Amino acid sequence: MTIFDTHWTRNGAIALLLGTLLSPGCQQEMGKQPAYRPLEPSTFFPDGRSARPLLPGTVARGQVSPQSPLQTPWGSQRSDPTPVVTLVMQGFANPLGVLSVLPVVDRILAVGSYTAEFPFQVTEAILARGRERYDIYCVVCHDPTGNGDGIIVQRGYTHPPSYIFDHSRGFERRGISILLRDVPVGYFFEVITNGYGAMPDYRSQVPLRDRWAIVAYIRAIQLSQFARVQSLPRQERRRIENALEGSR
Amino acid sequence: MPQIFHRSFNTISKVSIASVVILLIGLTGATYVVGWSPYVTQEQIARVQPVPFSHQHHVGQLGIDCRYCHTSVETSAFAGMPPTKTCMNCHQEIWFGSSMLEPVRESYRKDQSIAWERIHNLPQFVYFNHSIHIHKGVGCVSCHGRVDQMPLTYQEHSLLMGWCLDCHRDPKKHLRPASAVFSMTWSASAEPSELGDRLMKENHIRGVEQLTSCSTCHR
Repeated sequence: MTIFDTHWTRNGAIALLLGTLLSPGCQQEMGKQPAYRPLEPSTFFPDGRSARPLLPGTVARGQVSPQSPLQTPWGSQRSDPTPVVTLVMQGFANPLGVLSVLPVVDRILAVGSYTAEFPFQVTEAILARGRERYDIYCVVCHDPTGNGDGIIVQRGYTHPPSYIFDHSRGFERRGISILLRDVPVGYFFEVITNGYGAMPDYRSQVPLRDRWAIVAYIRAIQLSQFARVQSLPRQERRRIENALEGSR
Repeated sequence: MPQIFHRSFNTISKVSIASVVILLIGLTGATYVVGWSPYVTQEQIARVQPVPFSHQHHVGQLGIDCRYCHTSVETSAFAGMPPTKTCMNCHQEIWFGSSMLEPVRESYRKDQSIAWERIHNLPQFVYFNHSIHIHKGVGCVSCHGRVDQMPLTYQEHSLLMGWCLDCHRDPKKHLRPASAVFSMTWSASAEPSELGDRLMKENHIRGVEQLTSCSTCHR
């Protein structure tokens, strides 16, 4: 007795053969699998998104510690209130002096609380990275020279202050007049992270280390506008001298 | 004994045998023609989107870098679609009254995603990773075409397996220096001819055997 003796198995075998032959023409089952592809719509979740928000308390692999200096624009002075307390005490000792002291307190709180140090050593590679990132995310408004005449500004966006010639708007609002050239690096980091005024935040577009690299490059832009000809390599110096000769 | 078949059946049988052969060849040919046509591959066909976003304007005219919006292209398999927040970076002030952009503002107000039509659809049995192609020196334009000239985005190439293999068999011609990967206009013709060989070595591009191995893409 062979396997094909019964009616059922023979018909079944024929159906299977036909089915196998015909099936490739019908559907691409392996091409369209039930797994979600990135950002594919979902009918399961009420908001229609297959990409789910992180649950509170989720720790990503390789996540930077909240205590890391990479994370914060603030310097160590912030946790050290001694100078502020001293000034306030002076104010109490000499009530008329309070008026003159308060702006100083504010200044210390505002300017001094930002870190003036980079959380890592700034190398040429960091500056190159900063330049690359600046050219992606910042030039659109701040333009390559840092004067704030980027293409989006030309199209009508609020003009940002020049890194080189203008005062910080953030500090101006707190009554402090300080050139962006002189503000601590932590301030730039904070504005990139949280935005300020018309500038949106870039925390989701620019990762932590890149934000610091961009700050380093902004410092380089600022320095470049006040570099002394004498400090340049001889070749560069000659190029400038030749250009000046030519313009005379 | 009378003949069962009339004499004319000689011709009919010959014609029918020949036509079955021709039909089979024709059907096979038609399958290939239709299967490789834009009707199936969707190449060169612009999609209607909820908002008529123009890469020609944003990339070609304004010169915004690809990575401003597609932020994860260097670090992950998926290039990343910008959240509405990225649109609003500029459009909170630029064209903020435009009715064309109302779906963007509505999405931002209601915290609901814009349902963009996906342009590039690889079958799910294909493994593809953007970041490795970027780091090995394959430019955006090599696969996506002149996106800076597309008023509405479309798929430039067929994305058929043969098209992938064209490059995997001979990647040398398609490599560019890291600084030119995101450029839409860079051309190899102005570069020294040994550039391809140099980049093959510098970027540690694997041999053809590995690049064309089944499990490189079907894993």
